[in-house]
Amino acid sequence: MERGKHTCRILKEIRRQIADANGIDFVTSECKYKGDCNGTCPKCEAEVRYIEKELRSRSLAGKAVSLAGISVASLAMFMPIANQAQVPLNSTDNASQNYSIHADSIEIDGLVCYDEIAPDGTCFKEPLIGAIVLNMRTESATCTDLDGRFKLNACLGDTLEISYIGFKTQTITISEDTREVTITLESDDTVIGEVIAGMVYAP
Amino acid sequence: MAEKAKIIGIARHRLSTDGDGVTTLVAFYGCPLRCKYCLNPQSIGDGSRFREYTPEELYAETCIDELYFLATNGGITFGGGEPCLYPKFIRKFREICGPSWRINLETSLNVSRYNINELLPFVNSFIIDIKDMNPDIYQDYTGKTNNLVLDNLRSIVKAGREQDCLIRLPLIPNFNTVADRLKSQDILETLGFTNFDSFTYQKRLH
Repeated sequence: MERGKHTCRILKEIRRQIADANGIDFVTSECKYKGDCNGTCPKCEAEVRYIEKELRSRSLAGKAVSLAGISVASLAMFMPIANQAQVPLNSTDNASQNYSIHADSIEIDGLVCYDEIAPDGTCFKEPLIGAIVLNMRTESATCTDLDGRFKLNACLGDTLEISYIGFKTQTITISEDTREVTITLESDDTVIGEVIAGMVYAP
Repeated sequence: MAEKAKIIGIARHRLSTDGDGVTTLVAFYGCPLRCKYCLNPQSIGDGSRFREYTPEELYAETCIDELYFLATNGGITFGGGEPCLYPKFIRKFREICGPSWRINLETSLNVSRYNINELLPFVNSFIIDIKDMNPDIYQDYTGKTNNLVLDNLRSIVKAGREQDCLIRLPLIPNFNTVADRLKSQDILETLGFTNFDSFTYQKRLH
């Protein structure tokens, strides 16, 4: 997803220019992430929030805030520029239209469960109550209800992380096929140790 | 009751795609046309899977990029589907986001004149996918007449907003020719439009 990396670099330069124009200390680092990039990530978003906070502080202190006039075109002059009225929302077959999609309008309807062995040896799915489901891009999270179910907004390409103590954390990537999804967590014996619950008596 | 609209997708961080700034594309569900090579057929298919937003909810989701919008003269580009089906929603959104965000529409203009007149005061620019000015070609390709398109183009000119429009002139494989496209451009120039973008449609049959 080279386009995502390129978007990331341009957005970072915009942040740097805003910081410079307003005397904000801005220390950033070259992104070393090798996986798919949508042009932004929690680290990039945190830099945006930091600059917003610094700008608010300056504004409250009565200082002038400079926040306009950055030309994306000049930053992106080596990037193909096209007007895209006929834009496929999920096309990846054309490099010039392969931009990141954040269709947070998709609601993922999921069930988290684990394999339970009945006394007669048969295996059946048991819902897992209170499992944490985290959208790793937006960092929004929810937990499963009494039936092991959850609903969470996400977009195509997002990664959801499903975790529960005593079970191996699992991730899934959202696609058209995962709008309704059942996730079976595997037991993680390495984490479950013996716990001694102490009791404290009131005098 | 708050105006609601189904949104089929939100694409953040479009760079220099609609003007010089960073924009977020918000694609509405619903379109009056049935274009043969429609690239977002989900906008006219089963809409039950898409979330409905109020303008307030959409603002809450898109204001995450306000810093970029303000710094680069960017904002929201409403597309779809057909955004001009939702003038009340967009008007309310403008009230919420204020005057600093750019609002662009990617539209076919094939909606009632009332809708366009409602939108004109709140929208910075129109990206108009004109298809073809020849009524027969238009009807063949979209399944509808272009009478409303012509009405709305005249409304835009009457409002003195033709310079805020980018007219997209597609070469539509098997439906029009380069000569047809030049004829369309001539007609539009006669009306007063000057900004054109010629391109070729990708074929996607469905």
